[in-house]
Amino acid sequence: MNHMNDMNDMTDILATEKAYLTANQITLAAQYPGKFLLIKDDAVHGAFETYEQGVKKGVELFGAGPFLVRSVVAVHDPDPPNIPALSIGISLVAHS
Amino acid sequence: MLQQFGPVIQITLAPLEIETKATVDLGKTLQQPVVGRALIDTGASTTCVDEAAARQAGCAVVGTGPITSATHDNHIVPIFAAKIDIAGIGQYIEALRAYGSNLASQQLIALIGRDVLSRCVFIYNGSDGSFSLSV
Repeated sequence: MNHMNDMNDMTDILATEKAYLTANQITLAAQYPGKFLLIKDDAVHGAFETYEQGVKKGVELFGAGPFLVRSVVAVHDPDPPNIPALSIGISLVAHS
Repeated sequence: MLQQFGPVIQITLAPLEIETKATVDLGKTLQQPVVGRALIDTGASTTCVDEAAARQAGCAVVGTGPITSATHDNHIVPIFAAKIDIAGIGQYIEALRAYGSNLASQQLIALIGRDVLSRCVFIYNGSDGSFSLSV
């Protein structure tokens, strides 16, 4: 396994997979246009029409993982989801 | 009660059916699903699960991504694929992009966000203090 952690990704358990995808985006985009890629370590283990298909194949092959399923045309981390209850830090459940 | 506690349901957090089947086929031991409470959060764009509970249940890590909490901006967390069994109605939903977070301090194991709700009918009746969720 070739984990290429950099200072920004010290805690990212999928740093190797992301680095591989980023480094090879042009080649992979040409080879698998528009697909969702299933990546484990530094190898592609499948290309799929949908994210769901990639996840299910990943689970079948690698169980609890970790592995990465990501679109070949959006290789970087998405923006954080909008979850105000977490970002504001409010109490979610009232205590009696 | 509904106004005070919000729409809280009892759920069981487990791996996807296909992961369970693969685990059995490989002769490996299944981890125990985790039972707990989930809050239906229409303000959340994406479902969150308690990271420790998801790991305990054996849910697959299918990615990582940034999340913003009250104490950290854009820190990277695991993204899980989880099966969420809803107690009492015999139905389940699959959350394939459930962000891991610390919800245990809130006595929750999941926040059901709009990604999952997009496949459900959720009716909140504040007048009589009831709500319903169907898949």
